[in-house]
Amino acid sequence: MRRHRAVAAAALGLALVLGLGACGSKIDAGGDFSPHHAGTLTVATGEIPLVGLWNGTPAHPDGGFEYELARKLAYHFGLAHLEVVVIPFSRLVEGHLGGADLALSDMTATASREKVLDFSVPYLAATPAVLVRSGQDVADLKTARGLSWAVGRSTTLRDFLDTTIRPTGRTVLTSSESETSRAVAQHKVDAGLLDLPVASAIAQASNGELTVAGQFDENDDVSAALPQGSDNVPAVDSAIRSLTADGSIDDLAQRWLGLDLTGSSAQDVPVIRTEGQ
Amino acid sequence: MSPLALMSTQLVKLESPKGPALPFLVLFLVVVGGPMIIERFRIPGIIGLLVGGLLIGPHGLGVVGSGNTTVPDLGDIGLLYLMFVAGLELDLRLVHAHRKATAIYSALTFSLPMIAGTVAGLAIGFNASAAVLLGSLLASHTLVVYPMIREMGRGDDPAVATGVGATVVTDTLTLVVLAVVSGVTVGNSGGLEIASQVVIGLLAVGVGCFLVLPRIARVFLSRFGKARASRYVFALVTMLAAATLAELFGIEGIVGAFFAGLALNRLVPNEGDLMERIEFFGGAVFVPIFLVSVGLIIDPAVMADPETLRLAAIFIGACFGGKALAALLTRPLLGYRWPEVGVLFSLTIPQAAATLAATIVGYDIGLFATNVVNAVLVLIAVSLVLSAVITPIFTKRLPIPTEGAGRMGRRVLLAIDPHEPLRRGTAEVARRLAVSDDGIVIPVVVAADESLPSETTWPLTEAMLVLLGIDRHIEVFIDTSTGAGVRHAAHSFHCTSVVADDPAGVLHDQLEGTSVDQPILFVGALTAKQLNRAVVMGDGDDDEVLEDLARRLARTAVPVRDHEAFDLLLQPAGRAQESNGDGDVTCVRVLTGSGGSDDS
Repeated sequence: MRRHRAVAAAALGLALVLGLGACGSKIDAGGDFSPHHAGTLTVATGEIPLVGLWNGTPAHPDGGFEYELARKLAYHFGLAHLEVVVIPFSRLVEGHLGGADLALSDMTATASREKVLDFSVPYLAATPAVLVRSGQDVADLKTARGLSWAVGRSTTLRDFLDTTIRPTGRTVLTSSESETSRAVAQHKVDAGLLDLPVASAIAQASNGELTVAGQFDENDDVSAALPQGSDNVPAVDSAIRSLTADGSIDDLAQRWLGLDLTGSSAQDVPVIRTEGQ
Repeated sequence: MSPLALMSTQLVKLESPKGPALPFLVLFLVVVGGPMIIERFRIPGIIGLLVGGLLIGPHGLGVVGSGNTTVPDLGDIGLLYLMFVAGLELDLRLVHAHRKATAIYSALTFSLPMIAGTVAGLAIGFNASAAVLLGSLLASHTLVVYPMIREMGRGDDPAVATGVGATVVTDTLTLVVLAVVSGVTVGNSGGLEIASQVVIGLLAVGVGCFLVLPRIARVFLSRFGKARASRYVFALVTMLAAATLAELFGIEGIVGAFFAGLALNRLVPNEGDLMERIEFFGGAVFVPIFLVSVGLIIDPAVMADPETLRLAAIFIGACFGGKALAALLTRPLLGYRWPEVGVLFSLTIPQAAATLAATIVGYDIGLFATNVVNAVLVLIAVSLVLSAVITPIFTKRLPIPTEGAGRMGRRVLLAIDPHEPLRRGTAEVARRLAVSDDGIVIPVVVAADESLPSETTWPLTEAMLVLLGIDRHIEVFIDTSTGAGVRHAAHSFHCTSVVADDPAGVLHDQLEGTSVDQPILFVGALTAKQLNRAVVMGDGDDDEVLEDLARRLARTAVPVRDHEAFDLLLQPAGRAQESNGDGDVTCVRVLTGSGGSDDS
């Protein structure tokens, strides 16, 4: 009799626990996503069009790695609509997302940016890469130092150029990645410093005019930026991990950036070592 | 600036470390210091590693940043290692001996927490995949407190054996569920297709691990595994190969690693040197780094969040409730008493290896957010502390094992004559005796003090022993006489039996009639044949021990009347060696320790 009472007590206790679990607010195991506008994922980005990342027009983006990633995120969160807003990159990194739920803008998390933004887990590895006109070779850091450069004004690549490459030639600061690539194409500078995925996409779209001469051995991962204190970070993290695990991000990178992400950064682009130099 | 000042600034020019040295320095400081500090508060050391990971991670001091991939990659290897060792350490002999009770209890201790966890997950809003994964990880358990129970001398209790055996089933099923859920979540195919793929994959991994791997291992260890380092590296290779095989079929590598451990279980005795090496490197490097890498994920802000604590309370309730119900049901179903029920509960609530593995995989594939991971970590911490507290309370109430119920093959002393080369057949007898109890052989050169042993033949003997799978250095024991040396060495090394190479019967004559604490097997005549059929020619008193030995050493024991067909003869000590006529038989006389005088 005593043993049956004990079993019954244990079963009752278990039922009580399960009942308590059913009370209270529901939780999504992968995190809850609450958009600003019901049913719509609002994504901010710094520049449309940007080859490989955002194709089309600001009013009607229609392709690109980050655009397709945004669509997949919307689908993952069960949101029927996707709205894209263009906010200058310099404003984005200051924390002004223009009311968007998140920003996908080839952005790297830095200490200063983390003071005004929250960042997701990385969705793309982005090493600094050298975009040059075809036929130009940049074999090592010494050669790189002797070149003139174009680089984005508000980007982490500018810090990298100043502290690691330390060019002796002229440096042109640009306000967009397209402007950087144009500076190279129009012979205003010898080389442009861009994230590898962007440089690769631009080179692919240039009909052989431009090429990626090398990448530096420093990893700058790209993450989604969210308003500081956003409760959506866990959900975005889970979504990105899920899309990474099922190969979606690899597929997008292959299709829009011409990159094979299996392993680490693109294996075919030579690495320019910076250690000990 | 003065020249001296200029020189000073040029001499002392400090730079921020850019290489991997600093993160690894901090990592290993945590590995060393974390458990040491936390154990002062009587908290399991594993918690210290998790807390250390938190401190150095992106949510703590940021020494290991969120972009660092090296530590998480090493942590992944550590997880494989953890599962590999979990499979290696399981006492399969015990599992086999209590297989019926194990089967019943396995079903209970897996299904009840699984159902509770799945229902709880659905009740709080998880999707089906996440709820099922939650249920399966709550259903697993890790034998964290089993060493404690063994040290209290209750390791062979039937209830303990049942709990140990259930671990194989629950952990395997948890990993199978993980494989299916992971496949459905990240795959692009339908559920049925995924399930088929997983089944085929598991079959392939099972065949690879349980049929192919042990054969390769036996060949390698017997022919090429002379060097101890190469034996250890071979063990690593098997773990990684099995994990890779699993991943080829879309199954988590940890399933392969666990199966590899199970497959090599009989070849790597728990108390042998190879196991010691595996545990050493695992305990020193791989597993702690895995635990630290898990600590990197801990977000204290999330852990202290009321929602996380609510989740943790529900997980704890579902897990402990399910395990308690399973343990309680053993009373009507298996007839266990309250102390055994208590021990089963304390043995099966600790959540560590498979739980962590499934949680991290769930996190990596996006099924679980940080709050779920943190809630599981709270569950792990609570389960470890609770089980450590209640295990001794219930264990000491278990019946004390009866004298003589020990395992003869647990620690076998192989007594070697310093003046004669060790016969391979004698070493083989010792090995078989040890294998019958998943034990180890301890080779000892026993010499009288007036004849110092020469060390020139030892390397050859060691090489021969290593190729037989006896992976230990040869010890030396010097005493007033060889017989006294054997008895005292057996006591000194805590041996459960002795096998002595004694072709001329000299040692047998010295010890015949003396009182010994454990059976001593004197190997006289040796045959080159395999020991397939054993016959016992007893005198009635020690027949039970001799028949037990016959079953351990040969494939079959035959009746005396069939004596023409035997190749192993077991007799009590004191008899003249007999044979079957052609002399081609191994003759072993056994001194079982009853009666006689003590010649100490």
